[in-house]
Amino acid sequence: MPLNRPTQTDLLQAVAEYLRIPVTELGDQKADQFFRRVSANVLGIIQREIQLGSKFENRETQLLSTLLSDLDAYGDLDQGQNQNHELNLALCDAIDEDKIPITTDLVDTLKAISTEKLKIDNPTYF
Amino acid sequence: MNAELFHDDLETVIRQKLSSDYRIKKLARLTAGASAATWLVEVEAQRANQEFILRLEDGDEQFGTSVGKTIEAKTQAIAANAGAPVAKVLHIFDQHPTLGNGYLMEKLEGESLAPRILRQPAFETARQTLTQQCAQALATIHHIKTEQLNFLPVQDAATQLHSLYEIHKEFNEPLPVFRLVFRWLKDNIPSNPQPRLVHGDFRLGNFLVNETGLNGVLDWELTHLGDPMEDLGWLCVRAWRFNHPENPVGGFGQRQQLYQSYEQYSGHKVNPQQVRYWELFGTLKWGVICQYQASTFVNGKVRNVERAAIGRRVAETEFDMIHLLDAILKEQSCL
Repeated sequence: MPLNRPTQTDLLQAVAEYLRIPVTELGDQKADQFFRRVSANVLGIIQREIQLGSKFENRETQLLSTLLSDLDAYGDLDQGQNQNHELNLALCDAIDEDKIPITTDLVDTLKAISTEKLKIDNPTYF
Repeated sequence: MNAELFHDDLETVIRQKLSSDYRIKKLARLTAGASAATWLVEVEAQRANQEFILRLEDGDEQFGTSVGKTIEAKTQAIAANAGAPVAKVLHIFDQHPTLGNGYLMEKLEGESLAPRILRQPAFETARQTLTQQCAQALATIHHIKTEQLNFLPVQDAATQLHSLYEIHKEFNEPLPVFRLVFRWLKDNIPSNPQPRLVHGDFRLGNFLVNETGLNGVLDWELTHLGDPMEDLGWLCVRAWRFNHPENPVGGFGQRQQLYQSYEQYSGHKVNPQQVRYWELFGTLKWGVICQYQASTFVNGKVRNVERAAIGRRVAETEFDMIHLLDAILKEQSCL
């Protein structure tokens, strides 16, 4: 499960756009306090993505490859740059088409990946 | 929407419908939602001044199946008549030339901000009775005869899953947890032979709470006919516990108490597995809403940092969904 949109670049853009609002147009202090907090949280996500992003992707590649290696379509998958994208697409299709049974392996794999992903997006959630 | 545009027309209606000595003293916009605007109307009268709430259709953002303000108002009025804790509807505007669609209602007192209700000492007593009061309100809403509600759409699990899947696919993010949950929910729809009135967004944020507890249920825009257990499940979705995951019911209560009180008021047995189904369903729906809100930032429609940040809350919903599904499957010995 890839990191969701907005991408890191788009998130930075959002914070930059907020910071460019002239002080006179910020509205009341309380509302602005909220947007300041949200902006700080967004910077935290970006920071953790820089620190943990590639580790997360490697772990995802490893877990999804192991899970999908039994699927017929596995051999045709692109092993290049977009490998995780291809793996996720293959798993989504297999689920949609009922080609993969709901097993402990499947559920545990998705639990592990979702935990790693949440360590980037919101580690206080656990 | 500018108040000057409708001030005079609103005053005319208020004088005709409520009292001829009323004059509008102040019109203040309270909130601007994605599809509605709420106004506080202060009225000057000979005896005592009065306050009302005006809710108008505003903005073009519609997620899924909101019913429109006139239908929302009609439903709210019927719920009020049945004894549910909701504001009395005083007048409905149906394609009014300046006010459009909307309604005027009485103003109920209370706090709506979840963090305050869950943390401030003033709401200590309220927090203790809220679970039982929610059960009672839901039992009242679900008991209403549906013959008088034939203007509402039937939104059962299958219909909603279909439209949520269509919306989800548009975002083009390959998310296996979403697909797995879509598949499981589609294959395990609980039987619901008799569609009932469902509020559709019954949770903190849409409650007015005073020191003694639940004083009003707001925001009927997602109301429909469907499985009443949908409301109980939605109330337990983790996003609506507002950082109090230890209290699965809305951040303030325990499941057992919700079920027991609901059974007592409704006379119907609650199947905890059916509520869990709808909790998983609600988590999926919230996940798709997060995706939708983030998409409005990415495509430039609503350019603010809050909309951007919400896209990354999808990870929370995936984590919740896969753990919930895991728990359900183990409970049913399917894993």
